[in-house]
Amino acid sequence: MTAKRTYKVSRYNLDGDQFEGFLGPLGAEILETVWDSEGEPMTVRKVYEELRKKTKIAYTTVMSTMDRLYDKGLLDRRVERGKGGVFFVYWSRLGKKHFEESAVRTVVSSLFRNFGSTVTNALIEEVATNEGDLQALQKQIERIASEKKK
Amino acid sequence: MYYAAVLTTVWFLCTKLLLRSGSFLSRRIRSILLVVPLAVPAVALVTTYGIGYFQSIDAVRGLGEVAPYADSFTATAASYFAFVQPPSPSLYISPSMLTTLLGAVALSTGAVIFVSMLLLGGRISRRAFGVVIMEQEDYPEVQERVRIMSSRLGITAPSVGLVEDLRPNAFSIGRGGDATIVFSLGILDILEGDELDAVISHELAHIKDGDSTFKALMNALIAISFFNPLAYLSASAALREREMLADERGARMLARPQALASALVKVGNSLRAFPPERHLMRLAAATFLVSSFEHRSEVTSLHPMIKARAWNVLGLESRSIPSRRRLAAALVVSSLILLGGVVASFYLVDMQAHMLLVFLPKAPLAFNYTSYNGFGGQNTQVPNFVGFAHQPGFHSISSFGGDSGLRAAHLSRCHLPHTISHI
Repeated sequence: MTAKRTYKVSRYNLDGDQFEGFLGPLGAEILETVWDSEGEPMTVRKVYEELRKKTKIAYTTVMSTMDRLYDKGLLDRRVERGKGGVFFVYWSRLGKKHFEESAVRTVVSSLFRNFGSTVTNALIEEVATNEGDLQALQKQIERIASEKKK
Repeated sequence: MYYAAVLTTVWFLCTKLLLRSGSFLSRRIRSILLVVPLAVPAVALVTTYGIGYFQSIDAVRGLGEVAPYADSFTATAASYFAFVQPPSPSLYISPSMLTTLLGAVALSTGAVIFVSMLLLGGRISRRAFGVVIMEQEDYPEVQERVRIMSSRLGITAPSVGLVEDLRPNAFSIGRGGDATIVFSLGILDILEGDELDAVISHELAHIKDGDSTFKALMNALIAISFFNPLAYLSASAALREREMLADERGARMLARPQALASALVKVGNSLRAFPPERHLMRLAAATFLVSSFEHRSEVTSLHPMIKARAWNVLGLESRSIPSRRRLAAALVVSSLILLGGVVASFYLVDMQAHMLLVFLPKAPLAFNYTSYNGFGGQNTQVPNFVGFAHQPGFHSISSFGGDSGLRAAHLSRCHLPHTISHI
């Protein structure tokens, strides 16, 4: 169900943990819940009940947030008939890993576009604090360089 | 039991005819009148079993004669309960015992349904329908409307819930202070302002009228008369009356009663976009609901046609051709059942007497309390309740229920050997 597609980040919040930066705390939590369901389509009520286990939340809040995630193209939905009537079921359009890559790439490329070398320096400095990461970066640069030569 | 079935039928017919001619009766009285035919078998079973049981205990203890209504099943049960050795080796199985057993099962099923619906109905349907109880942030304007209408009707405001269903519907669950009024996302989507008030007032009227208890009673009575198709007709007619009653009561609370009609029409139109419901689970769960605003046209329908209800609210009683057709159908079905019931009871009792004579021609007859109690070995003290038994063909209606056939055969064997060949 996870088609190969990119996610266009519209804003990034520096204070958010993990996906919260991209989606806000509730959006991130909902998406995590949908990912945890391992491909099984979720109704708003199921997500609501999962979230209720952790925190006090209103059904309509979950509903409107899932509606927004659908508008953003992160969730997909269809009308399904089942126990309790006719209702929407949702599933995620991007896998967790795929979403992470796609979102981070969009932010980084936006930074590069605007600040170029500053970003490169900042990245290298960030990475340089850890010896292992530095070596990995070195290897990656060599690999990319050799690929370009070919 | 056969008598009870026949009585139910006759009563139902009379009620129907009465209601047909008398639109002067209030909805409440009409709905109660429709319950009466359903209550006949329940009352009959309770009375005959009750009397039969106590008198059998006395008979087993040697204090009196066996009750006319008591049959072998009741009497055996009574002897066990009275801690008296049952009259062995007289335990046998007769077709009439099966009837008694069926009646006992029906009666206890009815009782179980009634009690469980009263005690657990709310919880079961809340779970089955996936009702989410609204928080303060959920549709605050709807919750406010429920509060206002409740105080106008003078009842405690029920909790407000919602279901994810995209089809327009609203229903109420439970009774008294524990009631919940539930809206589907679909209905919250299409209704606005005073239409919403109209739906709320309708559901609150159900709660005020105690319709969940009424419905529990109906379901219990249907279970008792499960063999009688008329029970279903009668129950659904009674529930329709309750529905109209809730409509009328609700509409009286509205500044603009037309809003209820317009809400009904909107719901009806919107439902056309959805294919009809066939989910077994939902149908099963629906028995626990007090009311459901949507319309279902199948046999299971608890709601009159939306159009009829809309007209009713607008003060224009629709007494058109379909209702006459329904009356005709009811008449035909009733007469068929009446005829069938009488014939079947004759046939069954005859058959049972016949079987006894074939299979137990020489065996000592069961529940010969007279000899068991030491009042003499001959069956001379047979009570007069089988008076009709002397006339072949009539003994089938000589007792309200139980082993009339057995007793008839018994008598025939003892006193009137010439009737045996006739049977």
